[in-house]
Amino acid sequence: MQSDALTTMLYMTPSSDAQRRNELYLRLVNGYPSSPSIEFLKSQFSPNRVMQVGRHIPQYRFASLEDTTRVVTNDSLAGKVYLMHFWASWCGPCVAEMQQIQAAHDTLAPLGVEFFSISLDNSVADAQKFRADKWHMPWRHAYGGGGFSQQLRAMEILFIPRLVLVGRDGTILAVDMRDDLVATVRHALQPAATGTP
Amino acid sequence: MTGLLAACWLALGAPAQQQPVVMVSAVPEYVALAPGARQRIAVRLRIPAGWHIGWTSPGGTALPSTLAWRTPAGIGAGTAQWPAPDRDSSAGGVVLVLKGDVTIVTPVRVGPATARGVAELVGTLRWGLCSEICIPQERSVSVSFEVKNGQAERSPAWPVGL
Repeated sequence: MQSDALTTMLYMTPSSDAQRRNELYLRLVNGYPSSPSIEFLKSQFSPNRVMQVGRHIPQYRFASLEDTTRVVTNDSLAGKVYLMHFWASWCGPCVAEMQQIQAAHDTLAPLGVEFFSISLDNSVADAQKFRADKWHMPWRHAYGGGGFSQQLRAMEILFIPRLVLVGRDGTILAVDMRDDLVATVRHALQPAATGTP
Repeated sequence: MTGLLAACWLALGAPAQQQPVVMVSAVPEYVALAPGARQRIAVRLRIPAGWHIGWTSPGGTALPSTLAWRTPAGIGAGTAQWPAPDRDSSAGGVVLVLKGDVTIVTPVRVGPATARGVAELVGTLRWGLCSEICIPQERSVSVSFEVKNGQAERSPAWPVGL
Protein backbone atom coordinates (compact mmCIF):
# COMPACT_ATOMS: atom_id res chain seq x y z
CA MET A 1 0.00 0.00 0.00
CA GLN A 2 1.25 3.49 -0.82
CA SER A 3 2.25 5.88 1.92
CA ASP A 4 -0.49 8.35 0.94
CA ALA A 5 -3.19 5.71 1.42
CA LEU A 6 -1.71 4.64 4.74
CA THR A 7 -1.52 8.25 5.86
CA THR A 8 -5.16 8.81 4.97
CA MET A 9 -6.19 5.72 6.91
CA LEU A 10 -4.14 6.91 9.85
CA TYR A 11 -5.89 10.27 9.93
CA MET A 12 -9.29 8.64 9.58
CA THR A 13 -8.76 6.27 12.48
CA PRO A 14 -10.33 7.77 15.61
CA SER A 15 -7.98 8.60 18.45
CA SER A 16 -9.94 6.17 20.63
CA ASP A 17 -8.59 3.29 18.54
CA ALA A 18 -5.01 3.71 19.72
CA GLN A 19 -3.97 0.20 18.75
CA ARG A 20 -5.02 0.61 15.12
CA ARG A 21 -3.47 4.06 14.96
CA ASN A 22 -0.19 2.76 16.27
CA GLU A 23 -0.21 -0.15 13.84
CA LEU A 24 -0.72 2.18 10.87
CA TYR A 25 1.83 4.62 12.20
CA LEU A 26 4.48 1.90 12.54
CA ARG A 27 3.79 0.65 9.01
CA LEU A 28 4.39 4.17 7.73
CA VAL A 29 7.51 4.85 9.76
CA ASN A 30 9.08 1.48 9.00
CA GLY A 31 7.95 1.30 5.39
CA TYR A 32 8.65 4.86 4.31
CA PRO A 33 11.38 6.17 6.62
CA SER A 34 12.63 8.74 4.12
CA SER A 35 9.22 10.14 3.20
CA PRO A 36 9.21 13.93 3.61
CA SER A 37 6.04 13.71 5.70
CA ILE A 38 7.46 11.31 8.29
CA GLU A 39 8.79 13.98 10.64
CA PHE A 40 5.40 15.68 10.63
CA LEU A 41 3.56 12.39 11.23
CA LYS A 42 5.88 11.49 14.08
CA SER A 43 4.99 14.74 15.82
CA GLN A 44 1.31 13.82 15.55
CA PHE A 45 1.14 10.07 16.05
CA SER A 46 4.32 8.72 17.61
CA PRO A 47 3.64 7.15 21.03
CA ASN A 48 6.84 8.87 22.09
CA ARG A 49 6.02 12.30 20.72
CA VAL A 50 7.24 15.17 22.83
CA MET A 51 4.10 17.25 23.00
CA GLN A 52 1.49 15.02 24.55
CA VAL A 53 -0.68 15.25 27.61
CA GLY A 54 0.92 13.79 30.72
CA ARG A 55 4.52 14.32 29.68
CA HIS A 56 6.75 17.03 31.01
CA ILE A 57 7.27 20.03 28.82
CA PRO A 58 10.79 19.73 27.35
CA GLN A 59 13.57 21.96 28.57
CA TYR A 60 13.54 25.23 26.65
CA ARG A 61 15.61 28.36 26.58
CA PHE A 62 14.29 31.27 24.55
CA ALA A 63 15.45 34.86 24.32
CA SER A 64 12.99 37.29 25.82
CA LEU A 65 11.37 39.35 23.08
CA GLU A 66 11.53 42.52 25.14
CA ASP A 67 15.20 42.12 26.01
CA THR A 68 17.05 39.50 23.99
CA THR A 69 19.93 39.50 26.46
CA ARG A 70 17.57 37.83 28.91
CA VAL A 71 16.27 34.30 28.57
CA VAL A 72 13.03 32.56 29.42
CA THR A 73 13.38 28.96 30.59
CA ASN A 74 11.23 26.38 32.31
CA ASP A 75 12.45 27.78 35.60
CA SER A 76 11.06 31.21 34.72
CA LEU A 77 7.55 29.79 34.82
CA ALA A 78 7.95 27.07 37.44
CA GLY A 79 4.95 26.76 39.73
CA LYS A 80 2.62 28.50 37.29
CA VAL A 81 -0.07 27.26 34.96
CA TYR A 82 0.74 28.70 31.56
CA LEU A 83 -0.29 28.54 27.95
CA MET A 84 2.54 28.33 25.44
CA HIS A 85 1.46 29.92 22.20
CA PHE A 86 3.68 29.36 19.17
CA TRP A 87 3.04 31.85 16.40
CA ALA A 88 4.59 34.14 13.76
CA SER A 89 3.54 37.39 12.15
CA TRP A 90 4.08 35.78 8.73
CA CYS A 91 1.55 33.02 9.57
CA GLY A 92 -1.90 33.98 8.28
CA PRO A 93 -3.81 31.49 10.45
CA CYS A 94 -1.93 32.77 13.52
CA VAL A 95 -2.92 36.34 12.81
CA ALA A 96 -6.48 35.33 12.05
CA GLU A 97 -6.92 33.87 15.54
CA MET A 98 -5.33 36.75 17.47
CA GLN A 99 -8.66 38.16 18.52
CA GLN A 100 -9.64 34.85 20.07
CA ILE A 101 -6.28 34.49 21.79
CA GLN A 102 -6.67 37.97 23.23
CA ALA A 103 -10.20 37.15 24.43
CA ALA A 104 -9.00 33.90 26.00
CA HIS A 105 -6.26 35.82 27.77
CA ASP A 106 -8.75 38.34 29.14
CA THR A 107 -10.84 35.51 30.57
CA LEU A 108 -8.10 33.19 31.79
CA ALA A 109 -5.45 35.56 33.11
CA PRO A 110 -7.63 36.54 36.12
CA LEU A 111 -7.87 32.81 36.88
CA GLY A 112 -4.10 32.61 37.15
CA VAL A 113 -3.23 31.29 33.72
CA GLU A 114 -0.15 32.99 32.34
CA PHE A 115 0.18 33.41 28.60
CA PHE A 116 3.56 32.90 26.98
CA SER A 117 3.93 33.50 23.26
CA ILE A 118 6.96 32.26 21.34
CA SER A 119 7.50 33.86 17.96
CA LEU A 120 8.79 31.91 14.97
CA ASP A 121 9.35 35.09 13.02
CA ASN A 122 12.46 35.56 10.93
CA SER A 123 13.63 38.30 13.26
CA VAL A 124 12.86 39.84 16.62
CA ALA A 125 12.05 43.06 14.77
CA ASP A 126 9.29 41.38 12.76
CA ALA A 127 7.55 40.20 15.89
CA GLN A 128 8.01 43.52 17.65
CA LYS A 129 6.64 45.42 14.66
CA PHE A 130 3.56 43.23 14.58
CA ARG A 131 2.97 43.84 18.28
CA ALA A 132 3.48 47.58 17.86
CA ASP A 133 1.28 47.94 14.78
CA LYS A 134 -1.41 45.27 15.08
CA TRP A 135 -1.86 43.16 18.21
CA HIS A 136 -0.09 44.24 21.37
CA MET A 137 -0.57 40.87 23.08
CA PRO A 138 0.08 42.16 26.62
CA TRP A 139 1.74 39.12 28.14
CA ARG A 140 5.12 37.35 28.26
CA HIS A 141 6.93 36.92 24.95
CA ALA A 142 10.01 35.17 23.66
CA TYR A 143 11.74 34.70 20.36
CA GLY A 144 12.01 31.13 19.13
CA GLY A 145 14.86 31.72 16.71
CA GLY A 146 12.89 31.46 13.49
CA GLY A 147 10.80 28.72 11.96
CA PHE A 148 13.76 26.46 11.35
CA SER A 149 15.34 26.56 14.80
CA GLN A 150 16.69 23.24 16.02
CA GLN A 151 15.28 23.86 19.48
CA LEU A 152 11.76 24.23 18.12
CA ARG A 153 12.09 21.19 15.89
CA ALA A 154 13.27 19.16 18.88
CA MET A 155 10.13 20.32 20.65
CA GLU A 156 8.12 19.18 17.61
CA ILE A 157 6.90 22.66 16.88
CA LEU A 158 6.66 21.80 13.20
CA PHE A 159 3.60 23.90 12.47
CA ILE A 160 1.87 26.96 13.85
CA PRO A 161 -0.27 28.07 15.50
CA ARG A 162 0.24 25.63 18.36
CA LEU A 163 -1.03 25.89 21.91
CA VAL A 164 0.34 23.88 24.81
CA LEU A 165 -1.07 24.18 28.33
CA VAL A 166 1.48 23.49 31.05
CA GLY A 167 0.66 22.74 34.70
CA ARG A 168 2.38 23.97 37.85
CA ASP A 169 4.69 20.97 37.95
CA GLY A 170 5.62 21.25 34.27
CA THR A 171 3.25 18.54 33.07
CA ILE A 172 1.53 19.11 29.73
CA LEU A 173 -2.20 19.40 30.42
CA ALA A 174 -3.52 19.99 26.91
CA VAL A 175 -2.15 20.30 23.37
CA ASP A 176 -3.75 21.86 20.30
CA MET A 177 -7.05 22.34 22.08
CA ARG A 178 -9.64 21.25 19.62
CA ASP A 179 -12.81 22.41 21.31
CA ASP A 180 -13.39 25.73 22.96
CA LEU A 181 -10.05 27.01 24.22
CA VAL A 182 -11.37 28.64 27.38
CA ALA A 183 -13.50 25.63 28.33
CA THR A 184 -10.62 23.25 27.73
CA VAL A 185 -8.29 25.30 29.87
CA ARG A 186 -10.90 25.67 32.60
CA HIS A 187 -11.33 21.90 32.65
CA ALA A 188 -7.60 21.36 32.77
CA LEU A 189 -7.38 23.78 35.69
CA GLN A 190 -9.15 21.34 37.99
CA PRO A 191 -6.88 20.82 41.00
CA ALA A 192 -6.07 17.23 40.12
CA ALA A 193 -4.83 18.30 36.71
CA THR A 194 -2.66 21.27 37.51
CA GLY A 195 -0.17 19.65 39.78
CA THR A 196 -1.75 21.30 42.80
CA PRO A 197 -1.75 19.05 45.86
CA MET B 1 -10.69 29.87 15.93
CA THR B 2 -8.12 28.95 13.37
CA GLY B 3 -6.03 27.06 15.91
CA LEU B 4 -9.00 24.94 16.72
CA LEU B 5 -9.67 24.38 13.05
CA ALA B 6 -6.08 23.36 12.71
CA ALA B 7 -6.46 20.86 15.49
CA CYS B 8 -9.57 19.46 13.88
CA TRP B 9 -7.73 19.29 10.60
CA LEU B 10 -4.99 17.34 12.28
CA ALA B 11 -7.42 14.91 13.81
CA LEU B 12 -10.08 14.55 11.16
CA GLY B 13 -9.81 16.79 8.19
CA ALA B 14 -6.52 15.80 6.65
CA PRO B 15 -7.90 13.17 4.28
CA ALA B 16 -10.16 15.78 2.70
CA GLN B 17 -7.04 17.73 1.87
CA GLN B 18 -3.77 16.53 0.47
CA GLN B 19 -0.92 15.90 2.86
CA PRO B 20 1.34 18.89 3.55
CA VAL B 21 4.17 17.62 1.39
CA VAL B 22 5.67 19.60 -1.48
CA MET B 23 7.25 17.34 -4.10
CA VAL B 24 10.54 18.78 -5.32
CA SER B 25 12.63 17.89 -8.34
CA ALA B 26 15.30 19.60 -10.43
CA VAL B 27 16.59 19.25 -13.96
CA PRO B 28 19.44 20.99 -15.83
CA GLU B 29 18.86 22.39 -19.29
CA TYR B 30 22.01 20.61 -20.50
CA VAL B 31 23.25 17.27 -19.22
CA ALA B 32 26.68 18.05 -20.67
CA LEU B 33 28.33 21.29 -21.72
CA ALA B 34 31.71 22.90 -22.16
CA PRO B 35 33.50 25.27 -19.78
CA GLY B 36 32.47 28.85 -20.40
CA ALA B 37 28.91 27.91 -21.38
CA ARG B 38 25.67 29.09 -19.80
CA GLN B 39 23.37 26.63 -18.13
CA ARG B 40 19.93 26.82 -16.50
CA ILE B 41 18.44 24.75 -13.72
CA ALA B 42 14.69 24.27 -13.39
CA VAL B 43 13.40 23.40 -9.93
CA ARG B 44 9.86 22.12 -9.91
CA LEU B 45 7.61 22.25 -6.88
CA ARG B 46 4.33 20.42 -6.72
CA ILE B 47 2.33 22.14 -3.98
CA PRO B 48 -0.54 20.02 -2.69
CA ALA B 49 -4.10 21.16 -3.39
CA GLY B 50 -5.53 23.39 -0.69
CA TRP B 51 -2.10 24.67 0.36
CA HIS B 52 0.09 27.57 -0.71
CA ILE B 53 3.55 28.94 -0.06
CA GLY B 54 4.52 32.59 0.12
CA TRP B 55 6.06 34.29 -2.90
CA THR B 56 9.60 35.66 -2.61
CA SER B 57 8.23 39.05 -1.53
CA PRO B 58 4.79 38.08 -0.33
CA GLY B 59 3.91 41.18 1.66
CA GLY B 60 1.81 40.80 4.77
CA THR B 61 1.34 37.48 6.45
CA ALA B 62 3.41 34.95 4.54
CA LEU B 63 6.94 33.66 4.86
CA PRO B 64 9.11 34.65 1.86
CA SER B 65 10.23 31.60 -0.08
CA THR B 66 13.95 31.27 -0.80
CA LEU B 67 16.25 29.16 -2.92
CA ALA B 68 20.00 29.20 -2.31
CA TRP B 69 22.53 27.18 -4.33
CA ARG B 70 25.80 25.61 -3.27
CA THR B 71 27.98 25.25 -6.34
CA PRO B 72 31.37 23.68 -7.14
CA ALA B 73 34.42 25.85 -7.81
CA GLY B 74 34.17 27.71 -11.09
CA ILE B 75 30.40 27.51 -11.31
CA GLY B 76 28.13 30.33 -10.22
CA ALA B 77 24.38 30.48 -9.76
CA GLY B 78 22.52 33.64 -10.67
CA THR B 79 19.29 35.01 -9.25
CA ALA B 80 16.48 32.48 -9.24
CA GLN B 81 13.47 33.50 -11.30
CA TRP B 82 10.24 32.62 -9.56
CA PRO B 83 6.91 32.61 -11.40
CA ALA B 84 4.33 35.35 -10.95
CA PRO B 85 2.27 34.87 -7.78
CA ASP B 86 -1.43 34.54 -7.09
CA ARG B 87 -3.23 36.77 -4.62
CA ASP B 88 -4.63 35.16 -1.51
CA SER B 89 -6.87 36.73 1.10
CA SER B 90 -7.93 33.64 3.03
CA ALA B 91 -6.35 34.90 6.26
CA GLY B 92 -7.61 38.44 6.06
CA GLY B 93 -5.11 40.71 4.29
CA VAL B 94 -3.93 40.11 0.74
CA VAL B 95 -0.67 38.20 0.33
CA LEU B 96 1.16 36.98 -2.75
CA VAL B 97 1.40 33.21 -2.88
CA LEU B 98 2.26 30.29 -5.11
CA LYS B 99 -0.04 27.32 -5.60
CA GLY B 100 -0.08 24.15 -7.67
CA ASP B 101 2.88 23.40 -9.92
CA VAL B 102 5.67 25.93 -9.73
CA THR B 103 8.88 26.09 -11.78
CA ILE B 104 11.83 28.18 -10.63
CA VAL B 105 14.59 28.81 -13.14
CA THR B 106 18.13 29.66 -12.06
CA PRO B 107 20.75 30.78 -14.58
CA VAL B 108 24.13 29.14 -14.03
CA ARG B 109 27.49 30.20 -15.39
CA VAL B 110 30.11 27.52 -15.95
CA GLY B 111 33.39 29.37 -15.80
CA PRO B 112 36.07 28.79 -18.44
CA ALA B 113 38.46 27.30 -15.90
CA THR B 114 35.93 24.85 -14.44
CA ALA B 115 37.35 21.38 -13.97
CA ARG B 116 36.08 18.72 -16.35
CA GLY B 117 33.90 16.07 -14.82
CA VAL B 118 30.54 15.79 -13.10
CA ALA B 119 29.39 18.96 -11.36
CA GLU B 120 26.79 18.74 -8.62
CA LEU B 121 24.78 21.71 -7.43
CA VAL B 122 22.74 21.56 -4.25
CA GLY B 123 19.84 23.91 -3.70
CA THR B 124 18.25 24.66 -0.36
CA LEU B 125 14.63 25.76 -0.45
CA ARG B 126 12.71 27.30 2.39
CA TRP B 127 9.07 28.25 2.52
CA GLY B 128 6.06 28.35 4.80
CA LEU B 129 3.40 25.93 3.58
CA CYS B 130 0.04 27.24 4.72
CA SER B 131 -3.59 26.25 4.78
CA GLU B 132 -5.37 26.34 8.13
CA ILE B 133 -1.96 25.92 9.71
CA CYS B 134 1.49 26.98 8.55
CA ILE B 135 4.46 24.64 8.35
CA PRO B 136 7.96 26.09 7.93
CA GLN B 137 9.69 23.63 5.63
CA GLU B 138 13.22 23.26 4.33
CA ARG B 139 14.11 20.95 1.46
CA SER B 140 17.27 20.23 -0.47
CA VAL B 141 17.48 19.33 -4.12
CA SER B 142 20.52 18.36 -6.13
CA VAL B 143 21.24 18.38 -9.82
CA SER B 144 24.24 17.13 -11.76
CA PHE B 145 25.66 17.66 -15.21
CA GLU B 146 28.91 16.94 -16.93
CA VAL B 147 31.47 19.56 -17.82
CA LYS B 148 33.41 18.44 -20.87
CA ASN B 149 34.70 19.68 -24.18
CA GLY B 150 32.47 19.45 -27.19
CA GLN B 151 28.92 20.32 -28.09
CA ALA B 152 26.32 20.85 -25.38
CA GLU B 153 23.81 18.04 -24.89
CA ARG B 154 20.33 19.22 -24.06
CA SER B 155 18.36 17.37 -21.39
CA PRO B 156 15.27 15.59 -22.72
CA ALA B 157 13.61 16.32 -19.37
CA TRP B 158 13.92 20.09 -19.74
CA PRO B 159 10.41 21.56 -19.50
CA VAL B 160 8.85 22.53 -22.81
CA GLY B 161 8.37 26.27 -23.19
CA LEU B 162 11.02 27.44 -20.76
